[in-house]
Amino acid sequence: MMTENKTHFLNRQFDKLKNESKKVYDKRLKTAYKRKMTFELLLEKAAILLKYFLLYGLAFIIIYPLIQQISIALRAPEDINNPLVLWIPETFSLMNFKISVIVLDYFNALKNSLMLSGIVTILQVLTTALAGYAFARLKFKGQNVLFVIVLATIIVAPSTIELPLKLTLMDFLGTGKSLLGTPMVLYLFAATGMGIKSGIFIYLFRQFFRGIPEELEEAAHVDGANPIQVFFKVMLPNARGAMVLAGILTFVWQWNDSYFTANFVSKVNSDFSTLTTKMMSIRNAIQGAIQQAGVWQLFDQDVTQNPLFTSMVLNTSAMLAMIPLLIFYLAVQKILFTEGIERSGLVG
Amino acid sequence: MKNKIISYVDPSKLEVHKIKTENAIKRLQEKQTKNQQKIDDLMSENKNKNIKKIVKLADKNQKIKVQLTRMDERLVQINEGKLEKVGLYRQFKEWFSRIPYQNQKVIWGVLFTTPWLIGMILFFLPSFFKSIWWSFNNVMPSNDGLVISFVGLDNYIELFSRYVVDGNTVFNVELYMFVQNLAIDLPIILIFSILIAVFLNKPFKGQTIIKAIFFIPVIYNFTLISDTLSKGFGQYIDSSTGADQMFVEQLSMFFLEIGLGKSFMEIVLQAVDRIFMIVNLSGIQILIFIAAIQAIPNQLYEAAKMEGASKYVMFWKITIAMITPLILTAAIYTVVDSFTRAPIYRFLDFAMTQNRYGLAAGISVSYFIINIGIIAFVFMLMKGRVFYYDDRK
Repeated sequence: MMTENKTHFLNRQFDKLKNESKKVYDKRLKTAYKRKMTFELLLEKAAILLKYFLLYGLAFIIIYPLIQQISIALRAPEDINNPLVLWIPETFSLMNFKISVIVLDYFNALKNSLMLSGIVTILQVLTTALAGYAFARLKFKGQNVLFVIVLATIIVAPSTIELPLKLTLMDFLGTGKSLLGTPMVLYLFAATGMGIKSGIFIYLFRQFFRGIPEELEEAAHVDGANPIQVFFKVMLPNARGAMVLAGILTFVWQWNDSYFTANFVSKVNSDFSTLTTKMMSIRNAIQGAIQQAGVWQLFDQDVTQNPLFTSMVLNTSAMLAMIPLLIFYLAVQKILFTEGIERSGLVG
Repeated sequence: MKNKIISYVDPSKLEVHKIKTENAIKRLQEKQTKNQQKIDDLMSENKNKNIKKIVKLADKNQKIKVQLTRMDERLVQINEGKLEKVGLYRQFKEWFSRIPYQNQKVIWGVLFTTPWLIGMILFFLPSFFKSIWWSFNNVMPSNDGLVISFVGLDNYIELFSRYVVDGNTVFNVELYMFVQNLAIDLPIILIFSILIAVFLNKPFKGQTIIKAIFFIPVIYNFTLISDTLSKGFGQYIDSSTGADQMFVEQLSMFFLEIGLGKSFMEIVLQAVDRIFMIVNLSGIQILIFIAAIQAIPNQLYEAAKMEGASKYVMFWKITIAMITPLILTAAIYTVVDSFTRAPIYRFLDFAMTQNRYGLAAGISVSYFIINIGIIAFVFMLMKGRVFYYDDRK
């Protein structure tokens, strides 16, 4: 009995003490510090909310055209005017794909695109990596002037030098031979560091190689390696990230490029066209292209006379031109993010 | 270990080699004594004045000494009748390895730059200067090549005073509009990409997918995509769902009601209207900023935390401060990139189809100058604010 009372009493005392201390504690936290903490907590919560809202919303905006294209591509041509069909087609049909494949001359153009982008990528990565390394580590007199010219090649738009360049290529090195109209031109540009945005890649590689510690090179030198051994055995294996990034960007830019390819190859020689240049050329003359493909007769007049029909074919063609690139991107994006960005030389 | 088979020179030819080597030794010794003589002369003349020459000569003598020892070794081999046969490639390799490391580096540097150098000399420089020269000339194609006649600044004067395309698009108005748009877009793109980069950098739900999606704009073909969105079927879908108008209108109503200024509202609305374009233009910039943020050393944040800095302060004082050099890079990339996509290229095409190459050169040169002007402006603006972590660079 006695003990029970005692514990009761003790408990009460303890509670009293607890409440008291809590009051003091609360009072102390009702100061500027607590206000600051609360404010920050709210800010953080708001930031998280904003973050999810922005990221998911923008991700939707980015893939919205893709969704749209898929939805349009799967729609049967007879369903164009069907008001019930908006996103999900009533009758799935691959008719658009069939038409687009004929219109684009798909497999030929795909082969050209793959070959062109692949070879250009390899050549460009090699040249720019070599030049970038030279600018970073193998110093010689007058190099600074050359680097200013590299920066100038970044700033000068390709159209600025287009016409004189064409004249140079028409009578290449005074041999009277015209290089225009063959993919050779683009290989030559890539191999001599004048290809698509080469200047940027030289800059990127230079920044990257500058970031590799000099001690590495010195150690290799002490062990008896000459500069070329240092480059191939020490530097290049370390430069994988930068090379992956440069390779991916070159491939993608070359694939999507209509400027170089169209002006130097496709406009002169209509037999050679990549997916992008073909797409660009049928964009303005889609009616004729469909007519030429011989699918005009397959449909009723209210289908073929509908401007939406040509738009539909155009959409599907655009998607077909992009699909290989999308697959390529999805295949390499993991490499890009795991080693491409972190040590890519984007940051000196 | 690989056992190399050493092939020896035919014994009958040894005599020839012997004479050759002995002659070489004689010549080298003569040179050495001559140099020594010169050094002695200079020493006695004026030691302090000629110190550079003396060092040079001494260096030469040292080299000759090394060569002499090599020749002596060769002579010993010949006398033993076992002179090793050396191929041309190996001779070259040995000769090359004797070059000092620094000089080797220079040689490889030139060799590594050669491909680019060829491209620059063959394609870039002549075309660039020709383009500038043409812009001061009247260039017309004729039966026997191009006819070039000097007209001074006429091309530029015509361009900026009265050049009109399609009946109603005036060059200087379009150019002004373009520069104005760029001035609005540039800060928006930069802020936007920094924000996205900061968000993408920290782990969150669905990070891998969202990250992958955010770089799809890099692979989009912008012309084709905007075609899809703005013309034909895309427009048809948008207008039937009302997706194109609703949001912007609601937003403008909202801004008017809370009483923000009309001019501010217009800028915001333009940005909202072009959100798709902005997202599409900032793929590379996001990439740049992600790399920049990942390169910031973590101990900076730890130190700031110890000092009681809030996250807000840390963002401004560390993250932004550390990525300023990259903001400059991204800004330059944005300007250059937007020039290659500029709608004003219509003028260039038109001048080309008119066969007025002088005028076309004038247009492209003025783009180049405006481009440099904008970049210089951005550079000046950023100059005082750029922070370099180590001054070594």
